[in-house]
Amino acid sequence: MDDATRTTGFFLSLAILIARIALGGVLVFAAYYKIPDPQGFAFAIEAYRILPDHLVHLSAFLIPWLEAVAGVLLILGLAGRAAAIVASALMASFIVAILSVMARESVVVSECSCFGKADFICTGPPSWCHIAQNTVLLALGVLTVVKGPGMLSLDRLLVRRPHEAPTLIDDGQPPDARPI
Amino acid sequence: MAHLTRALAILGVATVVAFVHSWVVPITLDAPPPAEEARQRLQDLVHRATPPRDPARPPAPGEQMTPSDPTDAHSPQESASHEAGEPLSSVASEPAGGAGHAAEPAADAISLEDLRTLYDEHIVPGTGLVILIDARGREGAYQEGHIVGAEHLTADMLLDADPRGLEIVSMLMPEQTIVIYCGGGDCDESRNLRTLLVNEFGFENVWIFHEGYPALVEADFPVVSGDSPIG
Repeated sequence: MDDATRTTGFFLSLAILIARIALGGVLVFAAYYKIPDPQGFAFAIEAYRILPDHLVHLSAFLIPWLEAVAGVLLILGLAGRAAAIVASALMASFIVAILSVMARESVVVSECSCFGKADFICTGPPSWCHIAQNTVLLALGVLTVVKGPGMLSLDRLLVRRPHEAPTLIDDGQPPDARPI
Repeated sequence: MAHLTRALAILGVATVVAFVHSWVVPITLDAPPPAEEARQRLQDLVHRATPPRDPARPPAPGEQMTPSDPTDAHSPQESASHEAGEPLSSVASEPAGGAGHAAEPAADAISLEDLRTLYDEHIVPGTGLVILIDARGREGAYQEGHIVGAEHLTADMLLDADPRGLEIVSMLMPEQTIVIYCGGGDCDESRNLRTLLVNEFGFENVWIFHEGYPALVEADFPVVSGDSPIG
């Protein structure tokens, strides 16, 4: 592997690290405001008039904890692809929910409640701003799913790949300098 | 495939934690229907405030009542009202099933006619027996215009322990009739607030004007702009 490829790989990993931290940070931020207030979040979900009551109950607790777990894992880069799959699925479902409300004029939702009581970039009722915001976050998730969590992740540190063994610790050389 | 398995594992972990969380912090979506006692209180208020109807005059569409519970149809007080020729409240009533009743009113609903009566007889003079609450949560909606005499209180204010919201709730009394309106349509703001007032604060006599603010404006209820007189 030449220097140019190695440099490209490093910058790609850096970009993925930034994407992971951005997406994971937003998810943890959202969970931080939703977890203490499941009643308020249940009202918010109910206002969308998409789910039956029993699923509203389930979602009011499950979504915040999914966000929390996936967000922390994304930031750490642990099970990064799996966490990115969960995060992307969440973002996609949020986009569908917001589009659904925007398409139904009879449904009035006063607040997006994307981050509980907090606002992040977009404010007010579900709008194209929220769609754009979630689309950007979805793109970050898809990037992590496609490219993996990158070199700067716990996955990279903990998981030994066959062509990388023995590791740096064993012979003092980086994996790339070692014959396969 | 391994990544999907891990994603399912994340889902499983979150589900377990969410289950424990829901066990520790129960939530509710619906308030129970108004107690019969509360329903009767509002009916009594309306009866006191409404002049006797001319027996020769046919009842207006919103004036005829069919009790929500069939067993209430011949309750002593209502029978007495019928005999006295007094109109019956359409509050908390189910549709009679005849023509003109396209949609079923909710069990917690108050009609425009009854709200008009309560407004003219109690809110305008300030008897303190009836409280009108504007539950619209959109920022600035209340300040842009609200019904004269309506206090601004939303479910979010209570959930956030907003001092102004708590102050308003602290001034409410169990014997008061509370009428909530929001933006109309399918807006859940009134229902959310009612759920909190009934379940969390123990008020029983809480009613919703489902048609909302636009219908009140259209019905020529007086409107004023500005902040809440309280706080």
